[in-house]
Amino acid sequence: MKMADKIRFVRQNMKKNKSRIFMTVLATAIGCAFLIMIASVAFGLQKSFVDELLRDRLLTEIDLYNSMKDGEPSPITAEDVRRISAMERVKAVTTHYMKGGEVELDGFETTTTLVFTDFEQEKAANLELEEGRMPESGSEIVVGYHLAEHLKNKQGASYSGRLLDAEVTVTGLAMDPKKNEMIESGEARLKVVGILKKPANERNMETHVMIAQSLMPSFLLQDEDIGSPQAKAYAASAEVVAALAKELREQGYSLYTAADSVNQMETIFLVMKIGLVFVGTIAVLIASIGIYNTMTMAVTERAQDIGIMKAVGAHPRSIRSIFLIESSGIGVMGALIGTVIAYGLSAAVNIALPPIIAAALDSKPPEGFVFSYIPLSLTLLSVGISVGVAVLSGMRPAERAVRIDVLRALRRDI
Amino acid sequence: MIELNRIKHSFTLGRKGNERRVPVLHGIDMRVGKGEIATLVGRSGSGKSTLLHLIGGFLRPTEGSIRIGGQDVTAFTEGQWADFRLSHIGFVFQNFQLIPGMTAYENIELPLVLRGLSASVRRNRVKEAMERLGIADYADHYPAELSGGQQQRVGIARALILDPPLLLADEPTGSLDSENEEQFLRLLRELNEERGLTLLVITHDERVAAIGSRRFRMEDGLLSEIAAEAEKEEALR
Repeated sequence: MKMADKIRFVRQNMKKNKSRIFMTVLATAIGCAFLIMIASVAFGLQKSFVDELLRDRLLTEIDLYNSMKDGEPSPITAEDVRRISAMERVKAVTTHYMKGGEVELDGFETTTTLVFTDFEQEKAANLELEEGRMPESGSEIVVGYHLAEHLKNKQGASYSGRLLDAEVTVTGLAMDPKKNEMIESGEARLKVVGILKKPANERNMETHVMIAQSLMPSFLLQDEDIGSPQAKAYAASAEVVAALAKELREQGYSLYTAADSVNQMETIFLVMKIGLVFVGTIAVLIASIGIYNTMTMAVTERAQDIGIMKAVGAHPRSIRSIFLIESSGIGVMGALIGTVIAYGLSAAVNIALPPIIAAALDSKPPEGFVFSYIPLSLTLLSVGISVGVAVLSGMRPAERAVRIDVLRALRRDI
Repeated sequence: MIELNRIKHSFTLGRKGNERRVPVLHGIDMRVGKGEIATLVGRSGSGKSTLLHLIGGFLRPTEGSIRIGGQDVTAFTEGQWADFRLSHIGFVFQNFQLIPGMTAYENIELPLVLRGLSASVRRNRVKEAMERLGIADYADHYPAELSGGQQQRVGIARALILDPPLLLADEPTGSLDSENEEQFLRLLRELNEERGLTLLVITHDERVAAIGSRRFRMEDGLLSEIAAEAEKEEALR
């Protein structure tokens, strides 16, 4: 018997009991929608927390704090940087030496942090710019996104001109050990060639100035110690971060990666997701009782037809598959409708909840926070569970159909 | 075509734990050759329908063996029986046994669908069969909209649509009036002559039994051939 003919049989049979089939499909759809919705909360919270964690951070970024030398922690040195840079999975290593300073432009000035860095490494680490380009000589700098608005004149008005391509006076500040007061440690006229990318987290105000490390001596007093640098290693890809971090730790470096936090968080959310999918599956199982009931009634009602078909020469396999196609059809229709309902509910929840929370708690949830998120994997899993449960529900009735006694059916004795 | 060897059959009756076996057939031997019309008469409860159900694979014999068309079908599984019935045996029932929710066309088409034939082949075959049996005008009618004679023709068309070599008929005229009965018997004879169809007809009606070239009688679970009985009586005289 061809599959197309089996489907035709199933469609004819389903048409005869439209209202019963509709109610069963509806129950399955509600079960499937519940499963998706309840699990989508875990997916939504995970996504929101991970996004928040990774905001302004790269997953490939590794913060290097110090290294163990002779059993003692010591700051990251140029030698460490060279060694780490040479490692196979490392794309770049940046070192930021920092000190206080001032920036002045046409009578507007502000205090700032001077960050001395290696721009070649910054390029390799994909330092992102809002506009402009990376410096190509020692006299060129890039500045933080918010620097312009922090430049103020004596009247307190903010600088409203264009900072890109402007020449600014950058002054280093240092503590005079003899007078115990801040003094100028060096000064240079430098050209702004790039503005750093706007930070995703709106609470972060970036006003620093990034200067080539080759200029660092001219901003230091004689014998001034600028201290150890803030070092970051960048892995070649997100997949190798864990392995690289492990290797660095084995070599005695203390470090932090966003992946560490993400992994911990993902473990917690995985347990939560499994629990919620399990709870949601109970709803689908309840719906499956309806499918079982519908299919059992269908077998009982069609017992005579089945008996005639068997008498004529219907193979048990064909009888079984006709009923399994019917129950899986109910499952597929229910799952599809349930998925559409779940997507609609999810969107509604994400729109409706923030103002409710804002009104109830008098505080806004973070920007971009989602309560319900339905990834494709959840949809596929839920549809799979719903259809699988529907097929399982139809198995016993299908076996009953196969075992129908031809003579009893022909005598209308069933 | 049909070979029954020492067939015994008994039914198990009563509740579980208190069952009793009731023997129905007591060692039946029967041979029906290809192209023969065999009729089997007997009183109600004599075991003639049980014998037909054994030959059709709806029951399994308690003892003995059954060969149909040279194949030993005694130990066939249900799946094997399904395939075998589809290709070797056509059934005609007293109550026609048409599927009420299907039209006459769809009922006749059913074996072709089960065989997995294409829609165009099915269409041609069903059309041809309906014309041959004079029911072409009733293709879209449901069984409840047909007379007994028309329903029986639909049943015959369905039974023969795959050209099986054997037709088993269980009280086929039981629900027909005398005119339809006469037409039906004429049709069986024609099919036998045209196609060399082997027929086994179960009946309690002597007029129907008269069409058989081989006539059997079932009495208390024992089978005898009527012609052989007559020869014995003749010899005794």
